[in-house]
Formats: sequence, C-alpha cells, structure tokens
Amino acid sequence: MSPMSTDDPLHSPERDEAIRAVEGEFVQMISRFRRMIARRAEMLSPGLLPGAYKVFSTIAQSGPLTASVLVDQLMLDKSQLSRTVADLEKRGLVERTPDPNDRRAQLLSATDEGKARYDEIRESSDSLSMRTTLDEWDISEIRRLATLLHALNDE
Amino acid sequence: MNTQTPAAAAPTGAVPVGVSARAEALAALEGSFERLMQQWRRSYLDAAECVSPGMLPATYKVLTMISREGAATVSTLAEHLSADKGFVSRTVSELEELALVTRVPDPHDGRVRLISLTELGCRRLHVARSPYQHRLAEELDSWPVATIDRLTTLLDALTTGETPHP
Repeated sequence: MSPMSTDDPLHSPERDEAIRAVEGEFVQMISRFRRMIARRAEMLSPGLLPGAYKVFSTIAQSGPLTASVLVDQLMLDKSQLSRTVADLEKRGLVERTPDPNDRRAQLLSATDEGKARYDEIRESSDSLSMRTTLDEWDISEIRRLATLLHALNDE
Repeated sequence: MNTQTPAAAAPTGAVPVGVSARAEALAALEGSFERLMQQWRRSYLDAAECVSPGMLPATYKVLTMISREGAATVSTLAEHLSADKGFVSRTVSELEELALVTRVPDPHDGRVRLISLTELGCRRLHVARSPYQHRLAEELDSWPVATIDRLTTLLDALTTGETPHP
C-alpha cells in the first residue's frame, strides 16, 4: 500500500475522523505524561506536587544554580519558586550554599539523599517503558514514526 | 504551512538492522518528540502572552482550567491542577484584577464563591487559542488519510506498549 497514491477529497468525513484519531492519541499521550510526573513526585516524596517535582528535577539535572536562573528557565513567579524550594528543603531533597561568585546569592543543589532518590526513579521501569516498548518494534516502524512526527513539526 | 509530504521521506523496503542503526532510529524518534514538546510549550507561551502581555504559563493554565470547569471553587481548581491552594488563590486574584474572571456566590450555598470567566476572559481566551485550535488539522491537510491512520496506529502502539504490525 502506497500512501502517496491515496487520493481522497479534503474534509471528507473519513479525513475528519482520521484527524480526530491523531488528536485523541496526543491527548492520551499528554495525560499519560502528566500521570507519570504525578507518580514520580509521589515516589520522590509522598504528597509532593507535580510542579515541585519539575523544580526538583531541574535542580538535580542542571544544579547547582541560583533561584533567578530557575525562575527564568521554568517561567515561574519568584514567590512561588521560593515556597517550592522551601518545601523541597524541608523534605531534605534540596540544599542552599553561598554562591562563591556573588555573596548575596545562594546556589541550589540536590542533596545526596535527593540525588539517590532521583537516580532510583529514573532507573525505575516507569521511565524505561518507552525504550522497552520500542525494543520489540521493527526498525522501519521506529523510523516511520520519527519521520511522521518530524513532518508534523515542520512549519 | 507544511509542504513536506511524510511518505516521500519514509523508508521503503528492507533496511539492514545494526545496533547503531537502531540507536540512530531511537535517537531520531526521541528528537522528534522533543521538538514536538518544544513546539507545544511555545504555543502555550504565545497563548499566555496573547491573553495578557507578561502573563506566565502557570497563570494561563489556571485560566484554561476555569474555562473548562465553567464555575468552580479555588479548592476544586487546585485539586484538578494538582497545585498548591495558596498559589491558585493568588492567581485567581491576579486574573480578577485583569477582569478576566469573576467570583459569584454559589446558588446552592451562599457562603461558597465560584470562579468563572468574564465575557472579556472568554473573548481573550478564544482569540489566544484560535491559532492553535485547527493547527493539527492544517498540518495534516496535505497528508493522505492512510498516512494519518498509520500515525494513529504507531502512536497508539507506543502508548499501549504494543508492537505495530506493518
């Protein structure tokens, strides 16, 4: 079957249906991703909100960094970030140290405990599921999906 | 507008499979997902900026949740957003100052106040969303239905953990 030879009229019910199906897949993927973040937040520390998990993972991945860099990177408001950092600090996941380059600033980094838990989460089956799924796929199907998504991205 | 027809670039026939070829294919797929996510994030930023210059994405998210709920309490919004109640409450005040939302007494319980969009809020949100509403349909306009169906099958296989059959 060659998709190129398919000649269907634009805006046919069949086409609308096909587009709705792609939309449905994306919606499902986004909600799956959201649930994954919520689960990881809970794994990291019970009761931790998904937003706080994002702040923590940014600190763990790119820390040590200052609060103002985090504010810019995550596009949060300053007071919201400082409450989140205080929460992460109380949970023993993040610590502050003086910035050697700027006495008034402080650097945020993950504690050893925080790092260990973060590694544990990243190695859990939850995070590996996409790779594990793709292990079973024929390489031509992996390439095909990459090509289709790439075409979708092009503006 | 997308002028590239995906089928033209798709591999045909048997492909020699090596470890590095597979690793390359996986990296390409991950790259495609990453770009897609970046694009979504950008649309989110643009939409927030369109509603009110300087609006943060998190504030925009609260606004869209209010729109989705119709009328809701701060606690309900916080719960559905998995966000801190204090943050939602401050954001609602901010949106109220911008005249985008309003608090009205709950008809079933006068002590409770429900938050909903004002006419201005509805209008601004509609304008902010419109460039993205039909975006996917426009992108897919030049694709044959069979190719769109294939994309659905592959995405579905990925989210359900199945192996697609050619």
